[in-house]
Amino acid sequence: MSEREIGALIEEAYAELHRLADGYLRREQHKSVQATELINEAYLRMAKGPDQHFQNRAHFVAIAAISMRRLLVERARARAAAKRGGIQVQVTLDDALLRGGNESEVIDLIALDRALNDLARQDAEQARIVELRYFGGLSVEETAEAMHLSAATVKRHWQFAKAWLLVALEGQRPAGG
Amino acid sequence: MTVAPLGPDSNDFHRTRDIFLRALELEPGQREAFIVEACGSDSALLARVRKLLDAHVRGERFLEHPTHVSDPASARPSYLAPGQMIGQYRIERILGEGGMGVVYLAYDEGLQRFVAIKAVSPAYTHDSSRRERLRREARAAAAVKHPGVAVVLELRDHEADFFIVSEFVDGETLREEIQRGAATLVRLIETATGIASALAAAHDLGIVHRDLKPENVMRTPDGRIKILDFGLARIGVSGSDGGSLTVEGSVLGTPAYMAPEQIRRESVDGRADLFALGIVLHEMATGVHPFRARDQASTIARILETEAPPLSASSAGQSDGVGSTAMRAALDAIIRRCLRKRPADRFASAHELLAELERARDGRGASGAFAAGSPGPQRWWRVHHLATCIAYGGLMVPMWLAHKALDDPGERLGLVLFLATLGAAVASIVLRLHLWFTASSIPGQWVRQYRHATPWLRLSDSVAVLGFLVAGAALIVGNTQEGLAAVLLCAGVVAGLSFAVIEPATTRAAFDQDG
Repeated sequence: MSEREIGALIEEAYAELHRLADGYLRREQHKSVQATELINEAYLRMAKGPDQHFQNRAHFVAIAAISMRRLLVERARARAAAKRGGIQVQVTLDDALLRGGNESEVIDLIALDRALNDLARQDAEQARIVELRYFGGLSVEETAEAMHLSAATVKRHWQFAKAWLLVALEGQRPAGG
Repeated sequence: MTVAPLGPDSNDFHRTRDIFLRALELEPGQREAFIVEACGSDSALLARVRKLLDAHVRGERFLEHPTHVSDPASARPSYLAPGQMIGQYRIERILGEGGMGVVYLAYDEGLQRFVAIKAVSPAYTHDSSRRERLRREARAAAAVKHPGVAVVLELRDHEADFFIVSEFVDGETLREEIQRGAATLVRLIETATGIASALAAAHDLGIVHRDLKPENVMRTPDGRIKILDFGLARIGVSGSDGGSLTVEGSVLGTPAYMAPEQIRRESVDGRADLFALGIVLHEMATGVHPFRARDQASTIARILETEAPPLSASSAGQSDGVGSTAMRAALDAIIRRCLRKRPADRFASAHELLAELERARDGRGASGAFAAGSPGPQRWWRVHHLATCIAYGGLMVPMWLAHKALDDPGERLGLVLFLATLGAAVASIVLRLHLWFTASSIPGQWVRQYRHATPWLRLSDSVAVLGFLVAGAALIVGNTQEGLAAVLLCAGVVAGLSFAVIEPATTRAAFDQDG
């Protein structure tokens, strides 16, 4: 698949996710929706479409994760720009994290996006693992399959990437960069 | 493993990662030494790796759950930041998060102590009738004065804020204990007594916990039991609020510890807490929830319909030794009675449960520890002890002769051996007579007395056996009194065998057929 084709697919997935997210949040107030859920539904809709661009679900998710990241970051930016009005999008640390750690504030998505870009400059593969796991909702095994790596490698790199990003997000100077 | 230190080149990132990943493969305790060596003189590299390892430990759950797209008007609580002041309380960190909100550790600047602050989520406080009920419940919980109930110190109730400040309880939850393994019988009965006594104090005031579970019970470092969240945990779910169990129940936590009448949304009283306590005890004894099933719906069905499995299949109390059969039978009966489906079939109150627990602890449970044994072996147990006492007395004669034979002027070995053996024999005889007396006169105390006496009995017997053997050996080495030496050596061997093999078997046969 050429780069242009991939670009077109990302756009397509982005538009679909955007539409779905708005629909979800408008229909069901006081609720958040799992990114994974949105991606799954987007896949089901697009797979039904007349022209099949996606080989399978993993292939779709690999692309949709990029769209999902872009969508969330754009919403976060819009929200930062205009605090009031319309439906806002917020990404929070999962409750489970709060039980164990001391990161009590909401993850700053814009900062996470920036840190991910920094990470990608050091090692694109690691940033991609985070993108697939966090924005695409893929498991370690699925990520390994999508990236043609072993599950053990994904797991190790995932651990490092998480630590690296946490250090970066806490406003400290990231390792090696 | 030496790694050449690196300059600040583009390879730094990968070097950092390499050391980090290799350190992760080691036990946490070994990591520091490894990274110090691996980083050599590059202190900047070392600092980076250290910081990353620290982040790795702290951020175990960081990013682990895929992101949400959410509406900010949702009921999701907004978190207080560390350092933020709520009145005189300075927020330190989050202790936990339940259905009703977030619990923080905070420092009371005024009284200079730690407290726990529960910040109740606005979802529970913007409705005025709910808020009023929350207030009432908090006041009621504050009225419970019992060392087993975490004290409610203050209610801060102002506009959007609804904070319940309570005593900070340090320690470990029963959940953590259960995860480490099954408890011994004595531990179980102690824990049950601690919880039941706290429940009794609350029930007397008409306060029902409604959400007793291993996560809500702490054991402090000095071993006391504290129940958290009295009267608060299930405020959102009681019948008058309507709503279905699956929706609200899932918000407020697992229904796995609810009594059948709670699940059916019938009226609930203290006996629902006794049902939950039954589950907790069963789980502590076996490590397994008695109604465990593959999903929540099946668990609920089992709570409503299936009888709890008996404890006997479990490993509980195996290390307790003598008396455990009777104690276990008593505890099993207690737990099963707590787990009856109909409240009327359970103990009528926590007080009644407490009395039954006391009986079980003293070995006077449903059957009674000493009386539970069979009479034949118990007679042999008595004969064994009597014979041992007489043998000890008789053996003092050859020990005295050995002292005479061994000790030339200036030599003291024989005397030392004689005195040590005499002391040990007297101690052993006294303890044996004490056990005999207890078994005959106060069988209810027998298990406890046996447990206290056993280590001392073992010690004195070992000293005496050693005395016989050493004296016999010394005589042989000194080439005198071979006959005496033979008597002492035989006595040592026979006594050793008797204490190691015969006595435990006799005791088990007399009191505890299962071991």
